[in-house]
Amino acid sequence: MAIRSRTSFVASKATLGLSSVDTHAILVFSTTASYLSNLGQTAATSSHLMNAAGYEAWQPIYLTAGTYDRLGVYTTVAAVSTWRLGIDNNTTGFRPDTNLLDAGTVDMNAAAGLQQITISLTISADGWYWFRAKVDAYTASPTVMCVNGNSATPTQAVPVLGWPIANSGNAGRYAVGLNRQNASGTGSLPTAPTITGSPVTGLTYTEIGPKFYIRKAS
Amino acid sequence: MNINTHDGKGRIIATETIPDPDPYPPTDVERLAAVLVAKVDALTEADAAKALGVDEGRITAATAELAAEPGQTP
Repeated sequence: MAIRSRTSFVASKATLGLSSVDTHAILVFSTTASYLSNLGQTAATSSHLMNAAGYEAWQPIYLTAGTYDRLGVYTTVAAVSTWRLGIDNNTTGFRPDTNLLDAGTVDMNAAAGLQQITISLTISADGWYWFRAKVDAYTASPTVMCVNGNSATPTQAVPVLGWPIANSGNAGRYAVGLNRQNASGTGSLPTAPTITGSPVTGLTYTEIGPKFYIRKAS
Repeated sequence: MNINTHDGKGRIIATETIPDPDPYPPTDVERLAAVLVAKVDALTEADAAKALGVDEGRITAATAELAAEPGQTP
């Protein structure tokens, strides 16, 4: 079994809740038994901001209609922490909304590798969704494969047009996802807050976030 | 690479290990050489003698001469 993805970039007017500008839709043409993942320059790091109970991360993903049977994250160094994985719906403004799937938790202190949960998820129509992870318990940060816009090289991340630069001090960096750094409770995945620009009061753009892996069953 | 399948409630229900992909896969020349070496290794002196229509003893002597290092007596 190999983790592989097929991607194709096309220019189209995607309804992302943005102003009327041309946007590039990242389409993933998935095949059965293939793992899909959010795109971008990758880096295995423990500096993924998931360093306290309740902290969360979101990554956009375009899913084609069908059923999916595995959802996971990839560790390269284990640490005592538990992550709750899920998928949120997308809403106007290109942000996460209500929770579509709460897959449960993975033990991030298991032997390093792909940490996946068996799921039964049906996507009825092609569209944008949001990978989501929440720290349900924390002692130490595992090293996790992440997408990383934290570089002076502009091509390091796949930019989402309309998103701001995550760090105004470096014009070469890009936001690659959203995060929340608020001990907002554990054990469930409630509806995501709005983007406020503060990771404490709501969601904010971030230049690093976990890579997620989802397997298409059919 | 390890693949740990969790039950979502804190238990691992399945574990498998798959080999990491070889970053330097063999070239076609290397693969052909491996096939040829295997064929030669499988060839017996009896097979060679039969193919050449000679006594097996001559093949044994020829094999020893081929294996000898330069300057050595077979």
